[in-house]
Amino acid sequence: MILREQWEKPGRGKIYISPASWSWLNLSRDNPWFSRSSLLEVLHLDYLTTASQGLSEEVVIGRHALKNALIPVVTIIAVTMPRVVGGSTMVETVFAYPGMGRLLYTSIMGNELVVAMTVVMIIAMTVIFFNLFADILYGWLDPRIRYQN
Amino acid sequence: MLLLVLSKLAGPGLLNIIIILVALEWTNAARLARSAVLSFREQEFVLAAHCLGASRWRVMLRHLLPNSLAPLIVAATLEAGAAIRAETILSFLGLGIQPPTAQ
Repeated sequence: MILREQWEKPGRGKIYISPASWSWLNLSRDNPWFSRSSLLEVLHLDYLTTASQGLSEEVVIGRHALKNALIPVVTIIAVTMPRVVGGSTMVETVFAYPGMGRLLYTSIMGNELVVAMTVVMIIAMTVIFFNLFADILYGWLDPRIRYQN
Repeated sequence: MLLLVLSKLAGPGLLNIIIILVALEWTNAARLARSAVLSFREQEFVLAAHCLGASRWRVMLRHLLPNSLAPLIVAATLEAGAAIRAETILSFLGLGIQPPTAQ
């Protein structure tokens, strides 16, 4: 709702286009490469030959191949998510956005140790959280994965 | 994020930037390798290698590593660009390599 009002103000909505597309390109550029390479690896496995006897191509690729090929992609998303939470210092500096990245930058340049420590601590917590999330997701994507010996 | 803090602490300099980037960027590749190995180590060829008497290191280096190499090669190509970009961002923010040294 607030976003809508901001967008409809004359000359205000357009300010989101450039930083949003920059961040989107910056954060999602790795995923196609990893999905391509891991899908190519999975596609020649035996269980896909079995699945392709009678199932349509969409079901074979979408349900059977993609699920196992998603593991590196999930890893990359888990690596990327802390950067989403922490904000991009570059984008926030260039477009003068008051965000967490710029807060870290200004606190570092101003020698404010406590603020810098807090920001780094918050980002470290998101790193740990998304690592755990990815680990849980691996077990769902590939049921062969077991963590206890 | 940690890159900014460390480069501020270490100060500008080519060697410092290289050490910091190496110290931070290897984790992505390590996580990718771990995620690939997690699914490969439950497969039959690992069990077969163990049954043939291969040691843990041999299984890791000769069986698991070549199989999990595909995402690592992609990561290596992307990380080269990412390192250059990270250094550019540091230079833009005034924490990177300083003017007398060419970038």
